[in-house]
Amino acid sequence: MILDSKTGQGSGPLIEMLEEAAGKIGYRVRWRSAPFQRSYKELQLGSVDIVPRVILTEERKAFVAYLGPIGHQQKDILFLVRKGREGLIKTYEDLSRLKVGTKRDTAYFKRFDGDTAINKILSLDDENMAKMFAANRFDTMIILDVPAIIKALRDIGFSDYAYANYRYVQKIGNYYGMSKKSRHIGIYPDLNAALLDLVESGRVQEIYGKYGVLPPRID
Amino acid sequence: MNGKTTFFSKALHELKKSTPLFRSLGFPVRHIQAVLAFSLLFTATLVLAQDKVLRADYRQRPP
Repeated sequence: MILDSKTGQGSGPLIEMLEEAAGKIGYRVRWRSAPFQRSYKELQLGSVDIVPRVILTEERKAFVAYLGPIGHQQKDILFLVRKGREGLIKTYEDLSRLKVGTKRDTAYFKRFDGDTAINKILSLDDENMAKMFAANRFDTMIILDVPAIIKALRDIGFSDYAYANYRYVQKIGNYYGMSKKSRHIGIYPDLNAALLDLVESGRVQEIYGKYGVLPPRID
Repeated sequence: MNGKTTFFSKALHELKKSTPLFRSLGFPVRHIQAVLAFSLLFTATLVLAQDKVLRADYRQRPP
């Protein structure tokens, strides 16, 4: 999703798809730009109705009704270390003797999220995590959204990083999360059906194609 | 939605009930009723339109 700094309006396939599905059942969508942590809190409270790209976890099912998936994507979890220290993490077990930087409220993968033996150092966001890594506050940082952290590192002029040999390979569903406390939760079945209809009809591919972006896999 | 319907039904009922009082005071009752009815209809339309808006968030992708 891209935000036009002049108009303040966002655009992108996820925006267009939700608007199209909502339109089919007589609804409109009002968008707001917000950091994920804020969206995540408001999903729990019901003060936002829908948040795109919410990873499905058992814990989140308590307050999120998942719309989709509109496809799947390879979303491997990487670990960033200092250059020359790629061999620091060769297996998952190596993590237990390291300080690992993590981003608050982010779902990485089940084993890691529930692992209390790992020394996890919480960061507020990518910018905060990049600064902490540069300041040697932890040995490695776990990465879900690679472009976001690369940008944050570039912004602070830090380039002494590399990817560890170990990575967690995973395929995740691409869902929109709808708050179970939303006052519109009653339309969930119809909205979900409208969204899945876009997948079945090939409209998802068309929309992604319009933006020159590879669509998520449907398999 | 039921709550809103009840509210508007009650409002219309009250409007009807008060007609003799307003008339006895010399108010142009028909005009007042027409204006109030239009306002109620306008408000109801706005409320219903608001009801069909989903609030959604997005996160900007880094360029």
